Amino acid sequence: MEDWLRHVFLVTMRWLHIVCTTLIVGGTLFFEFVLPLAIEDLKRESQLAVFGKARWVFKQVVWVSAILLLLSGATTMMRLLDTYHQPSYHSTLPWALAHIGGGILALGIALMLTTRRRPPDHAVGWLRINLALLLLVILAAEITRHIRLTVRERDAAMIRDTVQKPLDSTPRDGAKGDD
Amino acid sequence: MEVVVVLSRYLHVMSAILAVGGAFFIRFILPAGLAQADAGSREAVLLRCRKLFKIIIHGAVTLLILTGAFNTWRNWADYKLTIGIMHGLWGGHMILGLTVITISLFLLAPAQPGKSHKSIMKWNVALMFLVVLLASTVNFVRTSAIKERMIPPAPAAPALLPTTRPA
Repeated sequence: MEDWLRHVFLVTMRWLHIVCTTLIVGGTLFFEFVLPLAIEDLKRESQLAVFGKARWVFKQVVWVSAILLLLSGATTMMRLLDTYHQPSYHSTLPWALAHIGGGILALGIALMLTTRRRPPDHAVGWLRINLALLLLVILAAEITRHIRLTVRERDAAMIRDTVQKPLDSTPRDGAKGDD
Repeated sequence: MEVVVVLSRYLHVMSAILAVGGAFFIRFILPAGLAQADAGSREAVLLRCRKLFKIIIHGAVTLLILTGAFNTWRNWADYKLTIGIMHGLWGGHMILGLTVITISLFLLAPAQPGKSHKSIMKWNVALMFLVVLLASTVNFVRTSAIKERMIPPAPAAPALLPTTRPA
């Protein structure tokens, strides 16, 4: 693949990953904290109707986002797999695995909550668990990225030092014994 | 310091998630959810949601500006690696971000939503996605620039190396 095309593809994948996360996490937060407060004055039947309809619309957003999250995540993982196998990047692997595992679990819970014809028992409890899990998954992603960049910076500095030092210490013609 | 750096980025991302996800929910999902409710209830629920969203937006905007300033200050050295493209993208992200924030605050300021509220909000959500795209591009260019620094520079002056000296 051409370099510029690959770059556009990678940026698009990263963008999709963030946008889909935004839709799922933002939507879950609204479902749990804002919507119940906004509809508390309505009659019980109206509350259920609003919740049911919003849940049906949100289901489509969750499905599309889940598929795109898995695709974009897999693309990024493929790109970074070689990096994670290098010894200096081993410390990132547990965080990356926590992000992937937790993310898949959170998507599974989100699909379970929205796809069934009727919401499961203790739906609000499940929503809270899923929200906490999603927040932890994002934190794991941030930590993975931070460690990866820090290691990369350190490696870059080491390479610069090892290349520069021999060049700097190479005696120039006529400079030998100047001291 | 490392914890502060991670926390600052995390808070920036979380604030963006709250603002963008909330705007999307209130503009596209909630009206669909209220489609079958009677007009009075629909209006009351939308106003209540708008009021709560206003509180969320104010908190998110404060955090976005504070953490954005800190992240910029911390990464400024990296932004100098490829000045033209990095400054263009970073500037675009910042200007567009501030525009989106201004539109959001302007839309949510009055107690009652205006006539063009819906269409402006739709465009604002699209702009929010564009801001995220610019942020993703800045991040990609920055990490690529750091990666390039790992390629050892070619020896600048081969004449100085002992092997190239005349016997």
